[in-house]
Amino acid sequence: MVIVELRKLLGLPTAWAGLILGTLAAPALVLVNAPAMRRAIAEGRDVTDLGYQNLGIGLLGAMILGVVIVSSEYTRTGDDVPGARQLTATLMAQPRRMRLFAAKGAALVLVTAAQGALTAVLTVALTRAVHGTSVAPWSAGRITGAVLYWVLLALMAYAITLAARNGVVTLTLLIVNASVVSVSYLLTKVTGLAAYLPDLVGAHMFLRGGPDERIPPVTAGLIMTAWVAAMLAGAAVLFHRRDA
Amino acid sequence: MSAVHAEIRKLLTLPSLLVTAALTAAAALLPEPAPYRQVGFLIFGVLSATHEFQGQFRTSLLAVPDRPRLVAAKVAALVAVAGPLTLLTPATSAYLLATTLTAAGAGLLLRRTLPSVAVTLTAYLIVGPLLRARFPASAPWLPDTALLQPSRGAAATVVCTMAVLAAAVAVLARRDAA
Repeated sequence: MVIVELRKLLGLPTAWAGLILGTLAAPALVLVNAPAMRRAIAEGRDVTDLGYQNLGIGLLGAMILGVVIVSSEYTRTGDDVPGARQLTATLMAQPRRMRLFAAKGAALVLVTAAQGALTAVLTVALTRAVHGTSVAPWSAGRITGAVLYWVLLALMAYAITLAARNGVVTLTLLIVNASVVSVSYLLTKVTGLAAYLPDLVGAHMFLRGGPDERIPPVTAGLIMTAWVAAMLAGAAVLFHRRDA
Repeated sequence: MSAVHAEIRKLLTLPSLLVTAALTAAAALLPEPAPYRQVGFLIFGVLSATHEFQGQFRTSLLAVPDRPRLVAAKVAALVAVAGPLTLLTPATSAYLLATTLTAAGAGLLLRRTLPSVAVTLTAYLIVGPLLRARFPASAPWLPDTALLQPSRGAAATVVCTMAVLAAAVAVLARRDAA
């Protein structure tokens, strides 16, 4: 089951776009940013998060993967058979929906974990090469946190898309929220509790600096996992109960 | 004229477009921050183009075989339908209309809804602001600067819309229909 889902996911052009974009965006940003960042460091900028803060942009790739693994099942397959969707065939092969749900989730976790690990290592290595080894120390804990954040966000996209049965809604929500003016961040201006929204709290797993109040990484990871688990549970109920 | 009329009817009768239009209108009235106002218009533009490629495009071409004319009719219909929506925020209405057309052009080029939405939203909400923040000199060249500083990026917006639509006409005229 998982292998089938992996093959389906990796057969999608959009998934590859997400993989490549997600893996290359963060290292590219390190290079693009290098001159300005050198100046900033010379002026005494806080460098605790150097190398890790750029990882955020690559998350778009993971989100795209989480969206297409579901939305590809729901889009029409072709002009000659209007109304036909891949999901019909998928459910014919695996009528047990919970198993299908788990297999898709497992495939997504495998792909995004590999991608996240590769990107995080690549980005930190590149930062060390550009700015010297002292500024961005290797930290297994922080890299694990970043990969976990990566996987959880992809699972969140998976859950939302499964509930919406339409990729456009999820993609809009997540891209708008990931944009430079993030909705969650704006909410923190209204209430301090917004710092516990999944996307913001999760970042505390691998970012140490910043003006906000610190939340310990393990607590942050647990809170984000709880959010995503709740969303997945909701999506599972809908997927199990609803007409396909 | 009948082609334009047909396109307007398509735009006005599709449920997904009506929902998007309603959400767009709601978002357009948000006071801040300005970048959010364009999200609905981008999606409206993309959907107005990509809905054709979910099984309808061959019929459309049967009715209007002249492909550049079909694109022209689509653009005219989109101006007629999205135009009134952009008037909700008069100061930025020209920019929003141009952006809607750019998104429609991207949709015609990419044909699939999801990739088109991903590309346009990423370009306008993430790549644009990032480039402006790192290289302030790039601002006059980016299509989305005009939303924030109307006097600075207007030319880039117009050129970008023209370029994407021209590319859409060129590609559509050459490519297999669906």
